[in-house]
Amino acid sequence: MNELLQTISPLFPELVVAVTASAVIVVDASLPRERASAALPVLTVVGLLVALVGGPAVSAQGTYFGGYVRVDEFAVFFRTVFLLLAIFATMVAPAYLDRKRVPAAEYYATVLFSTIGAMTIALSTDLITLFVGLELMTIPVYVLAGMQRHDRFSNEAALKYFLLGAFSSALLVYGFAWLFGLSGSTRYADIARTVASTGMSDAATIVALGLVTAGLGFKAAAVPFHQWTPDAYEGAPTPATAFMSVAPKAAAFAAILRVLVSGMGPLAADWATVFALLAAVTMSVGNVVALVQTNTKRMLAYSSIAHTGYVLAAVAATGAGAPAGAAVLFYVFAYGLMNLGAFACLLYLDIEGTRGATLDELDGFARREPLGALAFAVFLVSLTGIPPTIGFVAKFFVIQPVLDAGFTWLAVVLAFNAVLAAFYYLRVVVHMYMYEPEGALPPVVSPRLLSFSLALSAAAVVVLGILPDSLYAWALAAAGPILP
Amino acid sequence: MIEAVWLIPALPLAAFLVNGLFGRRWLRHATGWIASAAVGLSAVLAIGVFLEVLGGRERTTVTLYEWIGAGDFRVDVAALIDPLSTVMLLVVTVVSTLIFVYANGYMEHDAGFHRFFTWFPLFVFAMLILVMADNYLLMFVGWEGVGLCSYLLIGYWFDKPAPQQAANKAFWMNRIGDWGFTVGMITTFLVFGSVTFSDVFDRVGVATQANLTLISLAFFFAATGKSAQLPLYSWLPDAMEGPTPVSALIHAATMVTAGVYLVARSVPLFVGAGPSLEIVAVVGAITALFAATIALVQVDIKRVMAYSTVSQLGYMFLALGVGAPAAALFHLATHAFFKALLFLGSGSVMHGMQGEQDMRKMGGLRPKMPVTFWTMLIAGGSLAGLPPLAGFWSKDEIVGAAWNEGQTALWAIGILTGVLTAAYVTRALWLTFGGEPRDRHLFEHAHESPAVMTLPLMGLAVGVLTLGVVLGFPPDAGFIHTFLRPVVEVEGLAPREVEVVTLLALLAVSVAAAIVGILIVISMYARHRPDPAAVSRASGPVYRLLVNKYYVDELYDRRIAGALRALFGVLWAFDVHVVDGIANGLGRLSSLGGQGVRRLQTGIVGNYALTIVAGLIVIIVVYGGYAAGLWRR
Amino acid sequence: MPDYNLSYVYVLAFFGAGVGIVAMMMMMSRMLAPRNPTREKLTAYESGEEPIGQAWGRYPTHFYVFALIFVVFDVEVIFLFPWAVLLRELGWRGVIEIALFLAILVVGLYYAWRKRALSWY
Repeated sequence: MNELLQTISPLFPELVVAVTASAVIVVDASLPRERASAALPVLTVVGLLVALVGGPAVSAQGTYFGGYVRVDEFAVFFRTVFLLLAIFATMVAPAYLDRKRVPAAEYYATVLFSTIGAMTIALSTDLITLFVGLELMTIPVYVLAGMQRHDRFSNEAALKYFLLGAFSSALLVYGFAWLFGLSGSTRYADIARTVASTGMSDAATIVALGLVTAGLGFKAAAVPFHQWTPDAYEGAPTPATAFMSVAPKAAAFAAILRVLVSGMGPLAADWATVFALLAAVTMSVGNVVALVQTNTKRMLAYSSIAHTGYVLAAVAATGAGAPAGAAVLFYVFAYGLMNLGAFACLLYLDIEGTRGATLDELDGFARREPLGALAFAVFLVSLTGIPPTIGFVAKFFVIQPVLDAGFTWLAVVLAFNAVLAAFYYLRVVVHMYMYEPEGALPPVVSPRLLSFSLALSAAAVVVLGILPDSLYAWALAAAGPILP
Repeated sequence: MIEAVWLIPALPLAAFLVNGLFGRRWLRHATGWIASAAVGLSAVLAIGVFLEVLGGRERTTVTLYEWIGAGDFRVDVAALIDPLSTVMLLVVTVVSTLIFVYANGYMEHDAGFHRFFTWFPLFVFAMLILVMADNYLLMFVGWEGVGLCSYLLIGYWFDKPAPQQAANKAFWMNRIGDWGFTVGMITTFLVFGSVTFSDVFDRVGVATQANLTLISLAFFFAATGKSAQLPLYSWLPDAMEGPTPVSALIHAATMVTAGVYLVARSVPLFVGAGPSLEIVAVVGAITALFAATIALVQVDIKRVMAYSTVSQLGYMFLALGVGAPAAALFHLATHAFFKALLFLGSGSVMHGMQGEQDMRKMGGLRPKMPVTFWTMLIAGGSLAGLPPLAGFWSKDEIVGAAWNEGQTALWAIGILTGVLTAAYVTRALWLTFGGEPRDRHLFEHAHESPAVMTLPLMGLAVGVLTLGVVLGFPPDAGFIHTFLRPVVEVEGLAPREVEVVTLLALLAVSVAAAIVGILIVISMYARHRPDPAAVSRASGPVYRLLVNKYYVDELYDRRIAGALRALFGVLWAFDVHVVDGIANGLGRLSSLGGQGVRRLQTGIVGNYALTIVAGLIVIIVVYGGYAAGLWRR
Repeated sequence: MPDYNLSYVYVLAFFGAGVGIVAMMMMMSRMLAPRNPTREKLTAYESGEEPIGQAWGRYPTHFYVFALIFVVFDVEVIFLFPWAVLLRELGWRGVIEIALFLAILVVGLYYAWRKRALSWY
């Protein structure tokens, strides 16, 4: 018994989340509807908090399960990110789920399952672990997208996301197969050893690299693999959009760091330029298209593509060493906080179906819901990258290694994009604060839990923007195992 | 005392938080006094800091905490307290205090009172951060902060369209300037490995001249945005759509001087940078003349003052450019007082005239508003450069410095601008207070403002009367020069010895210039010799050119279309177009890029999958190209 | 040739053998069996149902849920067999592990049952 506990204790957070997910399902199936809907969010958040707090205490660092899993600072960092995002996504949801008759237990459970998958990706030392984690993360997200069953757009979102996701997973697995064929092993370390000796001379390496780039690029929503994003984000129920715009993306970058940076690190000089190009195209396309959107939800979808570009820039800068890795981690953290918050701010408006508010529907929002508007403004300012917010610091940390790695042109593109983005983000603020509400606007609902969690995270956005040091230090330490 | 320097910005910040959180429901009109008290207390502390700096602590760095430490890149949140920043601290806090008190009266009947007194102290906070920062990055935070507050306060009456557009214009023009700041800051870091002032200036030697030129011109470009110099000046006159205290504090006394401060602070970078200082001087001089000519024909009292501010800021840059930073700072300080006074006086007139800003409807107000008249007269005299008022000493010093540097042409421009300055300020005062009332109805209801507004006017007037002599006498060796010497004295900027005879001759010329300007205007308006209407008719095209402000707004408007076509100028085009009319340039840019990409977004899954495959193939080809050595890494 | 490529040859051989045996069986039955077709003999199954309508008809989604649950139990059995074979070697630890596994499935079944996935409307 003891021995068994010892074996599984490194996976304590994952297990706790799994148990919580099961408990959510059982409780929902046993209790009457009203009592369940009160108990479920509490149960979910408590479970996640236990995993968050207990994780570092119980789960010692080291390599486990025959080398398939490694708990290191990197994994711990990402675990924390995913758990925080799941907590946030749970806390903003209850009122919306109630209102739209989305099955609550299924929402929480799928968020939890997806979280386990994401955490597994961060733990992986092996392509197989990685793939299991990836699928465990994405399949629940397909379900999340289609959770508003009676809404046509939600169905469309789920189906599109599923079909294309499956397609990209196939590409990815195919790439993994090539890697296995090359090195005879699925361990990152073995793959790194093999590609270090063969280099890019082998056509098989090129194909494998291309397939992996495309597969992971899809998950991170990089251009030209991004097209599912706006459709899926727009159609999914808004709390689900909030979650799926951040957690899978964070996980995709965890995967990119594990597979490309540590597994195919010896080829970094070759893929770095491609990633720099991808980054430039991704951020530019995301921003330019976001500029012409009039629906905030779709606009935020494109903006999330642009942010993928910023993170990819940091990935491309791996030549600069640990600061580049730290920049990725820091940005992912910052992005998760502010983007989830921005989507969640749309939950104040009681709008037909799943589409978010149009700009006109946000006219005078500040008057109608001052706290929500303030939080929204903070998130948007942070997404723009204006101090003193975490978004500014995050961009700053990205630019540094990008310059160090010699991609001066990319830094220029990045700065240009940041200016461009200011327009469409701040346009929302202008609509909220400076326009008179006119005509029939959607009614405003202000659930207390939503306001509370948004206030909390908006405060975090500002505080971490002023005092980013300890978080950055942690990100730097967490990048250590990947980029010494 | 200096160790507690962080209290100075902390107090306005606290006022911002308190008023912002509790203003609307509970505090209401108490917000005004809370904000004023906080800023007043900051002023007291600033005086304390000043005395200590005076006592010999010439350079102190007070670190609050380490902000960013990434590898060898380190930025602290730290204050640099030296004579330069102390002067700025004093000007900002003292002028702010008086304007805050005034605003209590001016804004009394406005529905957004608490909102006003939420953003107003926030502005002071940001401005203080800007002047206290000991590195460019922290300065940039303040720089952006004042820009944001300026935007919010210009657009304070957001239910009217004009303030909204003015706010947007200010914001975008400032953003263009900020781009220069960013470039300067990044280049500074790349060249010197640090953005802290002391490190950078200690290492000036390691930089090549080209580096320094790039950095200094980038910073100067930033300064032209914030300080409304050519070519980025046109937002400032529009910014007068904000409440008058905002115009007085932000758009006359403090924020717009941030550019001057930035250049003064970075003087060591400019000195070694080839033509940079000359460019600063020329841009400053041309702006001064250019804006003064426009001010001559404006009919809106606040717009006259706005163009006058642009012109006076031009003087300050002229001073910096001819190597007299102390004179620039001196003029900055005196200008803060007399221009704030002129604005507040205009506000007081508007207050008594039911918000009327058009001088054609005023006239004969002297007996109705004695305090406003006398204080504005003092300020106007100072602006015109009449001794012994403050403006005389500081402006004369700038013009004299140009002469002594051998820049005769710039000196001539300075003198000519002096004539124009005296003329337009006399014209404004005459149209407002002199002659016969032109709108009977308004005149009859006109009244003097309450004490809460006139007392600050008198306070500022005392400053205008005394500051010049206290700070600047004798010329070039007054108190402010001695005080600033350790900071602004840089190798290559040695002050020349000037003979007393030359000095007196120069003085005489500038005083004469002022008097000529005043006399011409008085003769025109009081005796109709020549008649103003006849003059404007006779000078037809010139007059129209001036009234239309040289068609600069229209020029910017048209220029964008061309720039858009040339993809090279996308940034410039984008920003400037937003300034004038916002939508068109954006619409075109988006239909260029956005609509094109949007068309790819068909909504059909099969197409998406096809795109993915196409992307994959491109990537593999690119990788293959690397491997085959077709293109270099 | 590396070892793992050699193993594909085995797979290929296995595949060939499988196809061959099936083909041989079908051919033999065709050759050896007597053929006296009657109406009954030509139906799908002698004891089965005649199909009604087209095979493309729509089914209630309930079948899908049943199928899923069925697959779950199928997989469960696949795991249970090796465990049962190695019961003694695995000892109590094995019992605990398989109990956890079954518990997870029971949770799923419980959920399906409570959500009335097992009842036919």
